[in-house]
Amino acid sequence: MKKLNLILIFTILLIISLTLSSAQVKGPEIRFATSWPFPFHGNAFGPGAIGGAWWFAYEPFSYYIPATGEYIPRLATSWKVEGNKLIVNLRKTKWSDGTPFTAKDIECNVAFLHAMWEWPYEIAEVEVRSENTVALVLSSTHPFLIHSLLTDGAISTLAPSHVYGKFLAEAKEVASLGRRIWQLGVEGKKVPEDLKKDYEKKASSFRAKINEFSPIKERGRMPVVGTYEPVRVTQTEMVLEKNKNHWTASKNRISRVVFRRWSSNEFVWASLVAGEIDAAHPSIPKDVVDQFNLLNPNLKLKAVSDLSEFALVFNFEKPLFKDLNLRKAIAYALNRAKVRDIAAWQAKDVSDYSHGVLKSMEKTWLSTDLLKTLTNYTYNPAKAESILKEAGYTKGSDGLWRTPDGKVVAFAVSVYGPHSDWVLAAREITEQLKNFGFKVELKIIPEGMRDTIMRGGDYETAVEFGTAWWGYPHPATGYTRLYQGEVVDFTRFPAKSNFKTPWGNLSPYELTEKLQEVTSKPAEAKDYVAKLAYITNEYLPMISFLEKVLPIFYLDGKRVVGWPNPEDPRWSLAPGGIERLYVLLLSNGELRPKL
Amino acid sequence: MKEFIRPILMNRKAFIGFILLSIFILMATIGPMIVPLNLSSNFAERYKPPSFQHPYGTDYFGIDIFQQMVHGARSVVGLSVLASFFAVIIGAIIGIARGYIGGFVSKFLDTIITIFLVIPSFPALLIMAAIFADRSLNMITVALIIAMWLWAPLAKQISAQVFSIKSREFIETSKMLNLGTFYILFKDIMPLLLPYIFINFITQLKGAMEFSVGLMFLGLAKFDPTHWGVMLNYALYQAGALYTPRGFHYPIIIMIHIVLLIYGGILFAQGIEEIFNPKLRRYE
Repeated sequence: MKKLNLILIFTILLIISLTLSSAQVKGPEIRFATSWPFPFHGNAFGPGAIGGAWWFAYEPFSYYIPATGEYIPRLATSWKVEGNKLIVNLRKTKWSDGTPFTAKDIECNVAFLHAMWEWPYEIAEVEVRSENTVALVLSSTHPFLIHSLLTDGAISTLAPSHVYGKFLAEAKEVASLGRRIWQLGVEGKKVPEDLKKDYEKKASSFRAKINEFSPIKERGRMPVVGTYEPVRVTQTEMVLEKNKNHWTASKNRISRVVFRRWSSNEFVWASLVAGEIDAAHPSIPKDVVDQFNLLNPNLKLKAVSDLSEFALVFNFEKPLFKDLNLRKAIAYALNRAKVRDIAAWQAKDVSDYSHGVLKSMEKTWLSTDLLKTLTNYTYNPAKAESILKEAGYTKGSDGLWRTPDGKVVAFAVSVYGPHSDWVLAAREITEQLKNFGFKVELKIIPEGMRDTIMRGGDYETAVEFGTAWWGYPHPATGYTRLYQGEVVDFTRFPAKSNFKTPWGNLSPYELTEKLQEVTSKPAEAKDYVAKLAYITNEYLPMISFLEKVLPIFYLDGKRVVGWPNPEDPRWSLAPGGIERLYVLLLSNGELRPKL
Repeated sequence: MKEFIRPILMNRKAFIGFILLSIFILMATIGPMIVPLNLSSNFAERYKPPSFQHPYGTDYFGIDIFQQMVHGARSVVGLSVLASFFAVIIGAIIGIARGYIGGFVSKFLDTIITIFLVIPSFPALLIMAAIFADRSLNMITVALIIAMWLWAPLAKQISAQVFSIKSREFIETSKMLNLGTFYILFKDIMPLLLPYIFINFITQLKGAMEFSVGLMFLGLAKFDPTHWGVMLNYALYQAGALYTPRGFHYPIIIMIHIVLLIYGGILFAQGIEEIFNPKLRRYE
């Protein structure tokens, strides 16, 4: 009898534990790879922010699809520019903890952005017009700024007023001081020392306090307005659960997002082929992709433009590269197709020009007639030789080119070590230029040193991003980068000087400023783009050699189905925040569990 | 010469090690004169298996692996020998000074040795990579940087030996004869330490080689695409050769060469130690 009782108890216990464990089975999930800070604090302003959960937890006013030029409303239902104000009608929604989302949250958020990140000071004031209408009073209604305010994930929901409100008064004080200093700078006025000191003291004390703040520690959760809320974060896994208060919650059919830590590309390769994650965008060599397709036929690849180009940039402080003939010879001596094969085999066709317009956008922005007037730098070593010879360069018996004053043409190609595709490209470029007769060596820039070395001008030539249309996908963004932004900071190209063109002597710096003002008027913009393309191609501040693509690998049919077809324009949402694409597909219910 | 060669031929470990090292030294010295190097890529020819035309096959760039191994041997072997040499010189000088001089100087040197023994080398190399990032370092400078992290254990061991030697009678005799510190150090003490220093020189080769590979990865040493460490990095991390059967030969050939070079050095060092130290000779 005792034995029978024991068996009975054991059976009941077994049934209970099985029932409980089956009750614990979570709903359908999708898995990705990313990185995040650990311990996880849930504070966008803290160290490492919230890692790859950013676009899942926060919402911008809208998404922008570069391929169609369409804005998809997210947190904003509509918006308009009135005078110097951007008026935004907000969606009636709630934070994941049930607190209503209102215009006051935007006011709080902007104060925190000003105080913590000294940006965007162009927002002079936030007018709360009603619970769901907010007016951003702007110092400029430049199209770049409007686009950025509408699409940047930081503008609206990093600092919920009911979580960060206790710091708001202090944030506003720091923000106001910071903006006053910024305004004085814009007006070209001197900033009083006492104002500067007061700001620095208050800002550093405020930032230290906010950096340490952890919503997770204080409230046990991180209220979000986005589609998913981080609920369990360990060193190796970050689990997000569907925000039941999100306006798309009823359509969203995937209840959990699980992130594995992106420790290395090889880990992600193995996870993809084993079906451990559903999508990722690592750089994978061609043969490895072929092998993966054999092992896992569900693995699909969609390559989308990263809206950027890799380029060989020159340091114009070095006398050697002030010579346009040498730069042109280098352009002709480079076999760009070979560089593409080695460094980024999925990359689009390489352009024969170096005009600063992305190859994939060339037809949209540059007429065939204009392209005919531009020098075509198709691989042609003979042409490169003749340019050098005409310019007085000579080739010695050792096979090395010498400048007109007899010095060997020797230089280094620097490249940032952690960017493996750049390293491959730099290696190929170095070998090609060596074979042509220049004395070239490759120099690796160690991790963390890129900015110091490039901005400090401690290089001769370097592999870098050339034109890049991130943020606002328009040639103006690319030329701003080339002539007013990072590239000119690196190269010291004389962008403010006048260059001879068929339209007279023109300065690329001024042309860029004019282009920025007409970005919403395509006909006028095309005129400036043509002039800038001419200067860029003929005076070569850099030699672009391939348009970078973002290879998105996804598993169709393992855990989820419903990936868009390859022609879908929404894939173009991926550059600059691939998670936005995933969020869009999840929130409208397209990505759904495999039945 | 005969006196040097004969014991090596008699000792199996020393002999095999000597042969292996000789092959690599010949590879590094004469090899580049015989085998031409063509680093032009040919993507269509990538991952060709070993054949008569390409004895080791081709890599991800479609470049002959054998040619690269031969030309890379120069920087791998050269850098390792130089670094090991510097480590032994620094270690021996500081070790002897610490052991012989005594007093405050000895304590000061002991502190320095201890500091270098406890500093973790990899983070220190990362910092050095940042410091020297914008400078062109030649092979000697890089070898000195490597040697900085290898000399301390040797210095500690040598100082201990000098401590014991300096109290022996013949040293006391030299002192009484007023033969001077220089004479005592270099005529009396140094000859007794030479075998030990030589063995250390050989064993340090392994450490130096590992360091040089690390420095290439960090971008501190001059980038040489044929350096075996760089080749291995390309094979494993850029080309993902272990993920495709077509490319297996690419990293494996490089690994075999690195293993054989280090193994040759270890065998030779063990053999030499056995020759100098009769207690270790099992066959006698």
